[in-house]
Amino acid sequence: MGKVGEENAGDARTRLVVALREAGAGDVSALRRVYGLTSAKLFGICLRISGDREAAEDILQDVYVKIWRRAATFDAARASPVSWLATIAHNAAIDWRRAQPRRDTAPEGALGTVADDAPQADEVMVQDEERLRLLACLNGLERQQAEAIRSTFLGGLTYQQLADHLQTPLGTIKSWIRRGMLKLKVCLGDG
Amino acid sequence: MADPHLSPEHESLAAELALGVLEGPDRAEALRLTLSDPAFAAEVEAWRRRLSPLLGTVVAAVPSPRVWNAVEARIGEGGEMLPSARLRSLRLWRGAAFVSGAIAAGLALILVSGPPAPSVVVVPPATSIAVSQLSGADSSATMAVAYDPQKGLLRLGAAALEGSAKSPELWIIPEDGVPRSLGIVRADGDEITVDAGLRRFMSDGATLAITMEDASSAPHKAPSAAPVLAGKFSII
Repeated sequence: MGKVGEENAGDARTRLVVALREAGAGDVSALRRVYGLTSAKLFGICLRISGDREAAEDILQDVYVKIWRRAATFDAARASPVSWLATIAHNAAIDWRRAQPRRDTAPEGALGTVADDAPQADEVMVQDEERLRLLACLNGLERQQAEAIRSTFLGGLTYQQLADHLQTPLGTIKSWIRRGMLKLKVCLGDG
Repeated sequence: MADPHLSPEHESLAAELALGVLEGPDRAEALRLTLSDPAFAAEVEAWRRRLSPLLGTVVAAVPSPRVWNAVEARIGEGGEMLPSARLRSLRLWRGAAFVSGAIAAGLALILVSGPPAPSVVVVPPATSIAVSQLSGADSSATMAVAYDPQKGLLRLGAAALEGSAKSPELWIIPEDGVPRSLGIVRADGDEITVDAGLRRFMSDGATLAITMEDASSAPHKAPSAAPVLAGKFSII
């Protein structure tokens, strides 16, 4: 990416950090700016994991109420603002999936969308080195391990759901993921 | 960083909780550990940070305008307590502690809040009911709590908790790490009498925590989600 793009990403990140800080001080219009900068990305995460547009909108609503309440605790020195927000959305969507076992089946498109997951240039969401490092480490795993980690995390699948989908024994799936996660931790340099 | 306190099983469980692959009893066990074991909770957080950049690869989609309208309605117009209101309610509780100081004699308990902002209210020797607050690991909500060990009476201040369809369920987690439900409580202040059978757990080293749960099926055997508030009991 060129220098101009980097500056844009940096500007967007700065705007987001400022908006979060002001939201944390109780400014609703600042939360509106956070929403404007991030709602499409967070909605994508909720939609991907819930597989249901209406549910995803309910989850997203809860996510921004959580963000409002937690904004004051965000520490820009410890986390990228987008990663922090995306994690809140991911957790909320997973909580929703696990809370309804009957509807908790693999949503359409939860799997086999690896092509969609290719990094995309995105003004706000460019996460620079962190993401490149994680993707490089995933690429260094055995293909099955990397795909199991990717598809469970991004698709909101349980061990059992991935095992069913791949028609592979549960024990094998667990072993791929556990070994993959161990290697990932070492590769990321904090194992 | 490898944590010497975590067994390989728990390290693996922390990674699995962050990844989202757990369900049923395994998920309940992992959520329970996030309440009772700070090293475990820290490892889950570390994994969430490690994996989070991957979320940047998900394709974006535009939500309908009703989402923002609903968010705005929920956080505005008194639906949400502002920090100043929370402080006011804490002060009220401190006042209440002085007033009811004569009730209990001898044993005083104090709740020491967890991270990020330990905030212990120093209680004058004349009062034997201690007051402090429960706080969230990543939330700005707090709750003032006072316990009268003689009557088994637990008083909870108001807290700005998630205003969803879920209700706050209070847990006592003694040193064995197993959460016992004290039942659903009101988020706008409540007073409950702890069941006689559970009072022995209200002791030094125990953790009090609140998770958001389905009220219709409460009390539950185990929490189904991470705590929104937690704090530790210690006898002073």
